[in-house]
Amino acid sequence: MNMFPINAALPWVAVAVFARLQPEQIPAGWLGAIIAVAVVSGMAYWHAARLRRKRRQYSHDYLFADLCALHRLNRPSRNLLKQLARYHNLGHPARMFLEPVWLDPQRLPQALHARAEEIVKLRAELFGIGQTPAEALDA
Amino acid sequence: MNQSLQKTLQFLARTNNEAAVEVLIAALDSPFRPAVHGAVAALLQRRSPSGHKEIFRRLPTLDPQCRQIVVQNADRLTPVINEVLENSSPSELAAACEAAMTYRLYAVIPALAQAIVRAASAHTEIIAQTILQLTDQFYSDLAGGHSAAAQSELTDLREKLTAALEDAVRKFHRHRQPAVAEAFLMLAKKSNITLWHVLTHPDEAAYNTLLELLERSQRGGVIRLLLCFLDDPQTPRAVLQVLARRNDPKYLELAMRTIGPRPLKAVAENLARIEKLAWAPCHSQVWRELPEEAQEAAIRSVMASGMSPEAKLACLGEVLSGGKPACRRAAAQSLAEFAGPEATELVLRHLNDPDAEVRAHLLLQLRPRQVPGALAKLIAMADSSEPVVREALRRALPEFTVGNFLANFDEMDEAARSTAGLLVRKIDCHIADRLRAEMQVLSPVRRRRAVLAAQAMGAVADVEDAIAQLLNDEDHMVRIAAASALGAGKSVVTWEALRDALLDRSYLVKEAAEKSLEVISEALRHAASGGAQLQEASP
Repeated sequence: MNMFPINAALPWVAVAVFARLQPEQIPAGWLGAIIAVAVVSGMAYWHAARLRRKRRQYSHDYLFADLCALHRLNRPSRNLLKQLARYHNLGHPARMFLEPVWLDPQRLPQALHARAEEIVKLRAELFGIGQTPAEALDA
Repeated sequence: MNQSLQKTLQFLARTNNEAAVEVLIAALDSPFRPAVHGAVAALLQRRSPSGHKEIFRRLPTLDPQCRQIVVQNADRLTPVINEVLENSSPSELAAACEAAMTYRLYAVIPALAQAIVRAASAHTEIIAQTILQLTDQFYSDLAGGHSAAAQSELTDLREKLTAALEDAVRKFHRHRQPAVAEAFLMLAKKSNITLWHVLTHPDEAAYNTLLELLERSQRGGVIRLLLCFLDDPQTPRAVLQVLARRNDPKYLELAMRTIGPRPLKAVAENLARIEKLAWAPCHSQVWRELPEEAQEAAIRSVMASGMSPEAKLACLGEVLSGGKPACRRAAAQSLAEFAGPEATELVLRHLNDPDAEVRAHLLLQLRPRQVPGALAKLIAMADSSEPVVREALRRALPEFTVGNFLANFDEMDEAARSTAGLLVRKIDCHIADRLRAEMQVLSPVRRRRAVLAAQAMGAVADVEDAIAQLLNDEDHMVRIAAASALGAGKSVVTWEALRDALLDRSYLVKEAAEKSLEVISEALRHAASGGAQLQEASP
């Protein structure tokens, strides 16, 4: 990834070098080195993109992240959902977006009791389920 | 469904991240029903076989709404069921067959056909029945009204399914399931090569089964196929025999609808190759249950068939005795093709048929058959009010026309003129036009004869205006005849014309007009006194 700036800067360097030099004055070594750097950096970029693509083809983390992005959740909300998924031992955190049962304020761990209101708000946002009378009474 | 949840499900249905399938499968167990319904739809929308397999596995436990979603996307399950059919346990196979039937997965038929051909097992019959029921459903869909695009899609599918079933019929010896053969007959077209091959090769394993099914099956598709052979000049002899042997009401009704009241030439040629029809009225009573049009087609079929003349005549006799009107009409018409005392006896026996058209057909046959007293019988029918009988009488008695009557008028005495004139009036419906035309010819002799003929026929009232005009004729003999005839006149115009004729230069015309006016005034007086008596009699 750190090759990207070099890679991006290469055409400008090349323009600067070739602008000062006549075609017969271009040093073969320089040219070879530039081409080699370009090829290597291109391959590295392609490989990294491939890996990333491959990882995205099957990744529960990416899926969760994509769903968070889809619903424009902010960092605290994302973290809250992650914490809840971990508390409920959900292998697939994306289930938080399909099953409102995991956002039940009455089933919260002790540590998250203080954020019950926030969870109800999230549940309303994701499932359209507002605060039930029992929950209101509890609150 | 909540919009956010819908958004989530849409994303999960579309994303390339295969982890979504596991999330959706997990959601199938959720107590939150909207999520379950959405997960089923999203899994069917995705192309992941694992998701489809999971839905197939859960088919028996799905709620009605989920089932509805599956019905809408049922074709997604086809690959799974195909896979199950290829390498499955018996329980899975039964579940696959049930799912295929419940969700009308027609595309599964080729896989079922392959499975049945592959190896005979305890489940062969289940598979065969599944094939048959699916084909039956498909045939109903095919026959139903669809848009052009849907129809074209169904037609393509029909070809695929037929090809798959063809293979199963060719390898019939491996499974020996009539249900598969029946499914094939429902979808196959008459020109199908396998069908022709089997039907023309008695040594083929499926030969007897196919013929038996063609003879017994009550399925519309099979009967349709059988009837397609009716208009094919190359129809195999065995199929013709089936066509002749079948006599169940459903087949007969469809057959008669296909044959119709005027069989096509090709149909008639095939019928002529059949020497005995099992349903013919002389052999069976099943024809009595047919609707009127079908009975008519039945009698036309009998007449076109290769049955013996005696059998045909027996059929006509049966039909004339107990057929519906259209059928009796066809029979009466067909009777003309038969000479001989039996046919004549039938004609005489049914001469009083309640249907006028039947009587009309039979009347026409009286004179050509030289029936004793035919003329008297025909004349006796001259009083009939039915136009069709009168038309038949006109054809049967061509000599009773106004033209002939006028031509022989001078040779007849008064009594003969009156009798013949009345008969002509009853039989010939064009007398008024003919007499009017005759009253305008140049010859005064013919004009006078026309007036006298009208008088003899009692048709003065019909041509009153034309006769009144003849009161101004240049020939006084014509005027005399007109003035005499108008004694039967009924209109005021006629009476005024007669009053004017009192001033005619001919004494004889005046005298005739006077007499006619006396007759008219006498008739009017009589009518007035009759009316007064009636008024007195009424309270």
